[in-house]
Amino acid sequence: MTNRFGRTLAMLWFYLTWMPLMRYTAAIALLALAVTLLLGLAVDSVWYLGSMVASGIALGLPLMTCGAAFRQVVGNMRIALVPKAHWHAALGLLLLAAITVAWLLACYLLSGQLEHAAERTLDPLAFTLRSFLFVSSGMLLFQWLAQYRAGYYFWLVFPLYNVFAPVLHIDDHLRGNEPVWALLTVGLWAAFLFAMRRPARRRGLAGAMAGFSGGMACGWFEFGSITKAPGTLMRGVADSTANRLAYWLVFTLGMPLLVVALFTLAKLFRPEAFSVPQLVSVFLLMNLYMGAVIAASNCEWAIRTRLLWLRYPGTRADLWRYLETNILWFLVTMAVFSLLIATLIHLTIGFAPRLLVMYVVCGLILPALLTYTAITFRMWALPPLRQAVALIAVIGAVTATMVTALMYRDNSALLLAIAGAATLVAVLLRLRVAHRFRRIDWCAIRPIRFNRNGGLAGGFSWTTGI
Amino acid sequence: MFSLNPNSGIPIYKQLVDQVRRMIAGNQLKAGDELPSVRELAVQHAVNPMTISKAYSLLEAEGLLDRQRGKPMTVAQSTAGTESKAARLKRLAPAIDHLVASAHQLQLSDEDTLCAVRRAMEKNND
Amino acid sequence: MTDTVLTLDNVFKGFDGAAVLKGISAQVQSGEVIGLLGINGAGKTTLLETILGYALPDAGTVSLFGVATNVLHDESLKHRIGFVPQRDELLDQMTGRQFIELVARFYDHWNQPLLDRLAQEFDVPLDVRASKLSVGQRQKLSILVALGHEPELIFLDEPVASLDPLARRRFLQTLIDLVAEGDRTILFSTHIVSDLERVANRVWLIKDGLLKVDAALDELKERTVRITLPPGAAVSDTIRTEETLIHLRHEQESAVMVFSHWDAARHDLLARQTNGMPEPQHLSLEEIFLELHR
Repeated sequence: MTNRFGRTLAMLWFYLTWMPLMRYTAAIALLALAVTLLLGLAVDSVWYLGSMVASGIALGLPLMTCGAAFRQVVGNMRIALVPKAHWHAALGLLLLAAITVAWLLACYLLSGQLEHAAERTLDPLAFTLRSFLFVSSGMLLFQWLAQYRAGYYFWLVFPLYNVFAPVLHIDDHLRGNEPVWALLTVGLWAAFLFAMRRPARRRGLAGAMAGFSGGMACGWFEFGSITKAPGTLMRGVADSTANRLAYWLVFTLGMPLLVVALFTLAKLFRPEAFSVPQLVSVFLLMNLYMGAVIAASNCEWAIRTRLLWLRYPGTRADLWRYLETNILWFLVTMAVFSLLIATLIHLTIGFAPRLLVMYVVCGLILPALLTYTAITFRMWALPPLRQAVALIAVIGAVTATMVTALMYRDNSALLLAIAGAATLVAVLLRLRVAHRFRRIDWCAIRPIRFNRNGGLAGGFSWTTGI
Repeated sequence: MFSLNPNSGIPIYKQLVDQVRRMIAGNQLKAGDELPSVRELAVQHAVNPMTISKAYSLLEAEGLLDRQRGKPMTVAQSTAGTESKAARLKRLAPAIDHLVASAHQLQLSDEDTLCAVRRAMEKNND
Repeated sequence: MTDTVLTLDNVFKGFDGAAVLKGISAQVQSGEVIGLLGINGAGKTTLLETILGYALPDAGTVSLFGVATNVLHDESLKHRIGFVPQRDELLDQMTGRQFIELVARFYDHWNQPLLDRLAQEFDVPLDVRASKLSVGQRQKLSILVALGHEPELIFLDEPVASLDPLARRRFLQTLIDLVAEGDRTILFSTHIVSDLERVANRVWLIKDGLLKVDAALDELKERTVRITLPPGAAVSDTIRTEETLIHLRHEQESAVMVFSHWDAARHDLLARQTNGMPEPQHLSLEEIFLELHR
């Protein structure tokens, strides 16, 4: 007769260890903290840095991964029949939230050792409460967002932000907004409880990475579902250009507009919160980001050419040209859109032209860079975990680039240098890929495993299309 | 000991019952012989134990088998070799009907058929 | 002694406007082994999922162990039920052992030695990640995990679809062991009819959304016959309108008839109608299945 707490702990253990990356990262976080403690005895500033990194990791990873783990468990059909498994899964998640918050509190207390943090007078209890609301709702939010590829991309930025931004800044955002977060938390958990009352197939929880199957992953031309074996290609309506365009518009325009709208709404409660330039920046950043990662997911085409190979009348060179034409059309369309948006913003709001120029430049170069990077990954058939890590690195570099460009907005030379480097890399990659395309053994290119219960790496593969 | 074919049109329990009856009548199973347990037979032939159980129960009801507590099913004392000639001939009837029908289909005359039967009997006696 | 473990009362279930189950009523007594047959798309998986509460029936009720449960909220019932789904639904990143350990904690009763023994018999490596196992191994693992808490009522949806004959035989023997221990009820759907013939004592056949056959296997085999008339023999109207005639067809010049309820009375009736009627042929379950679908 195992005790009830043991069951909750088992769930918690599952969340922490299901993914090898998590296991290593937990170890790394602990190591970081230990090193901090040791070095901090000698060098003061190390406390701050160390606790910041540790807290960033401690916050970012559970938020990103444990929500997905939770979803895997509660969405699993077998576990639906295991008595009381869901309740313990939920309890385990809450317990994890509590542990994360305790860790954050420890980091806060550690950083409070420093003079420049001393002026912050935070009530530990209020901090704990706010953080708990944030973390528990964040984990649930992410497990639902993880269902949608775009949400996944958005949250990839979050841990990076966490590592580089002090944990206390996050608390600043939370302070004053407690009712909103409380409502959100309660709402999300209520939604979970409600979902559990419904029959298992109607809970909307099937699979960790469900949602958005056919159309979005496909290119501008009609390739059909990737999960079918080569030769059983189905040309589906979901792959139509209209569908693809709609998807693209929704995520490059719709989502940023939504976020801006939400922030604008927040202004009703805190008028000083977001200024118009900030809102525009957010919009442009999100637009760029979404566009860039959608461009990355177009690497699907590289895979699908292997499926098209049997049906395409022509040589490999012809097929490559066909592929390139479509890529270029996509990139050109994106650039044109960027230009249009930039012009519109300039004409209506009179936004900083320099920033807009940077936006347009990025809008041309970044998608190209990411497309060819992603195609390179596919052409060399990296295993999912390595691809995930490589993707994080690239997107991290992209984010760093954009953030740097924003922060150093007056430094045109730097901006130019970054743009030039990116273009060079994109061109080089394209040459490599073109070369390999002509010679590759088709069987070597791995299709995406549509892995419903797959690990985070599998999820990365699936969501990014890499 | 038994040969059971789950895929034939004849239910398994019936096959088993018929085989046990024949073996008892033909003295291959003598009084006091132990039959495999239900579970043993079920696992060996990969059939449902209830089927075996049903067959055994039927045979027990007929008086051919004895169920003793704690021991496996045994062939009952009273049945060995006491079946009347009429009863035994009745058992042979299906095989005879089949033989006659086949011979008719093959358009063999009665004399030819009987000769073949006699030859087979002589061979069997050797 | 034998009580009803499952009752279906006029269950209707449809998807996207199309009705799949159109009023299924049946009862299952404890200790039975029921084979669920049906062509692809007949609704076997739908039926199993409706029974287990994965899907809500549009109409009708499902009762498990006497408790009316359309959605399985009663956690105590879950201790007594096992399910092997068609898609193995294992967590890919976990090894078999880890999954078992995770699941085992939630049950009051868990028989780990049994699982270890079965894992050895089935040759399933428990310390390899599920994503790295072959389809057959996954299916075997899937079966194992469902048996760990020794449920009274076990549902299996195409449990042997990916298993080789040796594995299938071992699986059948495991099932038989379970049944021999007594008081376990098994309901399984499969296309491999020969396996069913060995192990099932009752057959359900779903056709056109209804339970066309709900009978003991032995009885079904005894009462279903096929008769082939000699060439040229006529089929009278009496025979044609006979209510137990499932199917009548002509192969070359002979009439072939399949009857669902054969007895001495019908034998005489038919003998009178035709001259020198050939012996009625009893059919294997697969043949019965085929005849019912012609």
